[in-house]
Amino acid sequence: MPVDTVAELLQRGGGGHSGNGAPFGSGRGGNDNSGTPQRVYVTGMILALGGILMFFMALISAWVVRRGFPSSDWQPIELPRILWLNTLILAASSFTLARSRRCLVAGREADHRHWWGVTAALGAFFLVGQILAWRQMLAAGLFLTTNPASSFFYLFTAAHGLHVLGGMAALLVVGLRSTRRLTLETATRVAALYWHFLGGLWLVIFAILVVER
Amino acid sequence: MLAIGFAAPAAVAQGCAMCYQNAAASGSQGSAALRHGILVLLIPAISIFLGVFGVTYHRRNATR
Repeated sequence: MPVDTVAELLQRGGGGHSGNGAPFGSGRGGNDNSGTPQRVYVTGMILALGGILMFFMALISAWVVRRGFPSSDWQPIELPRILWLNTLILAASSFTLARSRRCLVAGREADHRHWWGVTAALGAFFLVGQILAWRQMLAAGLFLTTNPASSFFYLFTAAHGLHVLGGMAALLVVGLRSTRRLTLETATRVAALYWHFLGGLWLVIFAILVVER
Repeated sequence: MLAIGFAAPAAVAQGCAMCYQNAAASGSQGSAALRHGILVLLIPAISIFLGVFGVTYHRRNATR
């Protein structure tokens, strides 16, 4: 029997194989299709985020040390203005993602899908904006090896952009309902955790780049 | 751990000789940069440790 709405999924509760061909299993915050509790996935994601956080903090620490060292080759760079727009776009995507999850909890599947799609589109806009920022930097003659400040700019934006690309993949996988292992609630929660983290991380990176000027 | 650390002060000074020479030669500004960099690394590590400790303590009776 096909499952038509998220509300049906949520109302069924519990876990176990549905055997109905639905892309996601049933359950709301309970177990996934193999009986694994949702908190296991959430804990796993939090641990992964801890690792990612340490990676970026290592980069930031290197930035602090390199910038603070007495040397003449550090030259502050003029940031492309499009970064401000990109920041707004990424912040907006966090809001649309939160709205999408609220719609899911309320059982409004169409709205959930709509806002989930908007979030993915905003993520794509952000990445395109970052590429445009790179092009502007290159046009201004600021390359990876021009000076330490430009090197760190490319390093920060590339590392974050790759993680956003991974987040986009997660959004698409959940949006296309192409995983059978997780419940919809669990999948959206874990993906949302990752996406919100990337949003917060970008705010920190952007603040550093702005302060660096 | 702290007691062991204080009891073996020679161990505290261990490290890469080249790094030590570089740090010593970088002057007060370089030393300050290194200190700040170490602090930046310390913040998430301590936060994660405290977070895990807090969750463990909060759920200490969860399996009973």
